[in-house]
Amino acid sequence: MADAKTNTEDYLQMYRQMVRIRAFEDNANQLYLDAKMPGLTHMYSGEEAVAVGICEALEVTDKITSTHRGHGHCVAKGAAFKEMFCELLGKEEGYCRGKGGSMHIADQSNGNLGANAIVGGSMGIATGSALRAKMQGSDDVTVCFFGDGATAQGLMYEVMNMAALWKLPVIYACENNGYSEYTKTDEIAAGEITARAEAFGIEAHQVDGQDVLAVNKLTTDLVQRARKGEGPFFIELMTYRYHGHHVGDINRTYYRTKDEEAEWKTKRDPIKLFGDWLTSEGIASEDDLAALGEGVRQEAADAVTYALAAPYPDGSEVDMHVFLEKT
Amino acid sequence: MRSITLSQAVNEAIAEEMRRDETVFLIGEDVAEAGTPFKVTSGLVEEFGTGRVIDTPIAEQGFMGLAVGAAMTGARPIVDLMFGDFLFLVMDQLCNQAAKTHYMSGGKLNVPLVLRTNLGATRRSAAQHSQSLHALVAHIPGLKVAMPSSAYEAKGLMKTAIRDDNPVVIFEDKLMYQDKAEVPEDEYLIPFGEAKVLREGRDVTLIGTSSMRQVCEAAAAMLEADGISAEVIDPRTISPLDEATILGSVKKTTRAIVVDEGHQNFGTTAEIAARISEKAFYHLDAPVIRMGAMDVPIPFSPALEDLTVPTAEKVAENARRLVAGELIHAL
Amino acid sequence: MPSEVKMPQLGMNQDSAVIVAWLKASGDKVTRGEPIFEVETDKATMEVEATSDGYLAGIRAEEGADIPVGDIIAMIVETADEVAEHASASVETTETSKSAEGEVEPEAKPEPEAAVTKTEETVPNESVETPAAAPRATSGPVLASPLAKRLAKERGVDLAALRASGLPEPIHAADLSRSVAGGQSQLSARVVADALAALLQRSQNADRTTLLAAFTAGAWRQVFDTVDVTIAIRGLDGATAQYPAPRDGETGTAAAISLVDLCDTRLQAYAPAGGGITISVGEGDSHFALTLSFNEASLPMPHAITLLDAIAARVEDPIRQLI
Repeated sequence: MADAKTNTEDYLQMYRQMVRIRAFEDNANQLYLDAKMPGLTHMYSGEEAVAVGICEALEVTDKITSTHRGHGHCVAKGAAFKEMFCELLGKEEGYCRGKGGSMHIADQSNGNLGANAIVGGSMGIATGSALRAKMQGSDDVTVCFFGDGATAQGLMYEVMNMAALWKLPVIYACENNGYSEYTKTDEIAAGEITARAEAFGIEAHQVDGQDVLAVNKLTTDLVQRARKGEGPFFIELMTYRYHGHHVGDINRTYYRTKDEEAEWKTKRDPIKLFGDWLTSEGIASEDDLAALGEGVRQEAADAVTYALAAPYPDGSEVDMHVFLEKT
Repeated sequence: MRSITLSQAVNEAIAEEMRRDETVFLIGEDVAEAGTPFKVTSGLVEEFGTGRVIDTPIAEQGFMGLAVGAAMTGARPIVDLMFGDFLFLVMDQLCNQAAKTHYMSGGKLNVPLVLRTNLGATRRSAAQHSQSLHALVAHIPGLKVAMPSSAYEAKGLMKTAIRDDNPVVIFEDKLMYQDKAEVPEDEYLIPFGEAKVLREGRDVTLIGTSSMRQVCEAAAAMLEADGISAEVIDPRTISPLDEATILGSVKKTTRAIVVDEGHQNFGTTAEIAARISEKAFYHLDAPVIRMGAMDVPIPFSPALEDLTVPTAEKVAENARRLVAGELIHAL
Repeated sequence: MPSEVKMPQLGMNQDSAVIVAWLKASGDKVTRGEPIFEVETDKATMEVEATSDGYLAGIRAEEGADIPVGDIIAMIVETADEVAEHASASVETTETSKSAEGEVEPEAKPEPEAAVTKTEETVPNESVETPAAAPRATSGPVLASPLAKRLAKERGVDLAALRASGLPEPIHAADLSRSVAGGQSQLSARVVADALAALLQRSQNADRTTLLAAFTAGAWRQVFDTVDVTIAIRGLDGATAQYPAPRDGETGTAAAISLVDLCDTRLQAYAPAGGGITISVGEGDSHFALTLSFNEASLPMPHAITLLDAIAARVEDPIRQLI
């Protein structure tokens, strides 16, 4: 990242990706409210800097595992709106041909090993992917996204132990949004979360998850080191989710105040913070960003229109893909 | 033809496939120098090294999860689960992750892994080391379940499992590891979903999985002395299940007894019996009999444990009653 | 240990036999292989031998009684002293004893009509059923195997009528040609012998009895639209063979119908009283006499007519069958 032009492009790419996540989620929420989306979904809005800061530090060949709150990871790892909205609506052209939906959405060709609806369920998969990389002499790194709630799962400690023993190229990215579903993280997590990784001798960092530059800088460094066999690493990213646990979680004052939500949205919004920085640094004008945002929103609206009109999978697909049978 | 033990047969299958495909690796507790408590994997680490024969901490869910991730990204792990009873520890990774990944990804990802574990009571190991839990696994779409009944089947099924592009769970009977059978030197595979008719008969079909095959064969020999001609079938894999062979046999004999070492309630015997009743109903001249393990935790005392599993004597007795046309379980 | 003397199975379709005479009396010393009583079947009279050494005791069946196959009719005890103990076991001749396990056995009911109408309400007080016996519903659904039900439907057999005739439940496929009580019906046909006689003369290899069995099987398959049927060929010497012959090591399936070929004798017809379906073939002056004997509970009359007519057609024109 030597010259300014490259930096400008990288910065705008990060900004665009964050705006794309926000636009995707706004549309997803609206589809839910309009009763056009089957099932429900978990919004990533507010946490954009985490997914974008990390994924912009990765190559296409690097892997991620995602969570039930996975739209952001999917967009950040390079997925397209059209296939994502199709998946969200259970349409044939969805990334998973409508078989996964919101909680399993993934653009597999970009190294996304899937969103996982079991809290903490992907920790083994991410670590196994890293084991495979090491075993086969491949230099790809796997990032395991999970929330603070997942730190209560035993699987995490089983696999961190093995990752540390075998020096696997995996980065555990704990998105601490302060709430384990409907419960404050303080009430479910004893001690420091980073201390848990440190107990296995894993280098652990805590970073402001609303600061995309900080996240990206730290991750870029850790990914390079992981490629050299210095892994695993652990990052706790302090962030916030704007919506409830899922889109139907509307009345949530019993676990957090509206004032608290308002404060994060106005003072700590990752997109606004980064936009302010881009304009103050003279990298982009407010008009540039507004135009960029407008373009993204239009792209999202078009994708929604497309997905709403797209066909459902044929009934004959219901028992396809239970097994992979080569013919 | 040479005879080797079931344990040697499994070892050979793994070694041959590891030589053939360098993405194949073995992972589990004490699989390397120790060669597992049953000494099934002895010698593999010497040939393939610790990079491909990986000893893990005692963390079944953890290494099962690792195998799923490795399989999704281009490796072909063989997971060694020391006792079938530990399946309960790996259920999320096996059933929620491995089994569903191909489907949930719309066919984009797949999980070519083998979970090899065991079943079987009467080893005086009590309730947490004696269970036969294959029915739990076979219940889950996306998993294949193989149940070798001899060294010959153990080798052929294992090689097929390793080459399969889906998660496969192989249950070996832990009491059969030292049992010998004729195993060809030349390479062979046993396709999944093809039952083996071990003995042809006319009066009753005995369907036996894993070591229950031997129980059925012994029962058939007893029945022969009584003038009753029993057909014996080993399904070899219960998922997929070779329905055609079973139904064809029952349509001929008009009577069936299904013998399996899993618990009888909601078990493998129930599934096979139900398919027979559903699809060969008008050919049945007697109720289909299920013979599974008793629905009790497996007890320790030999005096009690031996009562819990089907025996050849009990199978033969039931067959005689069926052939005699006794009124069985009326009302 | 005392051993049981049971009414032996004497033929394929043999349900019972009449005791003609006891050759030994209670308390007599008997040795294994020594004849102890004489029975009359629908085939012949024959002697039954003792199966162990000892003393005959506890004779339960009088001469002239029709005893179901398998019923215990006496004991052989080891010492003369035990004879007295078993004397008290003697019961009414035609009543069958129910085994302790509650096995349902074919019963020779003295009053068959009572069996037909018997329900909970109409059970006469004097005929108390053994409570331990397996359920013997005489009303309500018939307990029969799915295969027996399917075959009964195909053949137009009324399973309830079969049950009412005294056939024990559950009814299996092999039971369909049996009925315990009720009279046998007969149908006769007279067929010109020319074609079959000519065929037999031309072909030295053709065996008449086997051909008749093939005709019977062909007719049966046609009438009942079925693939497999087994014919019991009852020889004049009392031996029984099967058509088609069972493969090596197989015991053979229960026969649907028996064939008796009387053509080498002066006899015209044979109609057994013991039940089952029997076709007999006698040869007369340039004709064959076909007689079908059956119980209408297990072979309804319309089917019997079609069956006999179909057999007759084949005998009359054997080329049709061979083609």
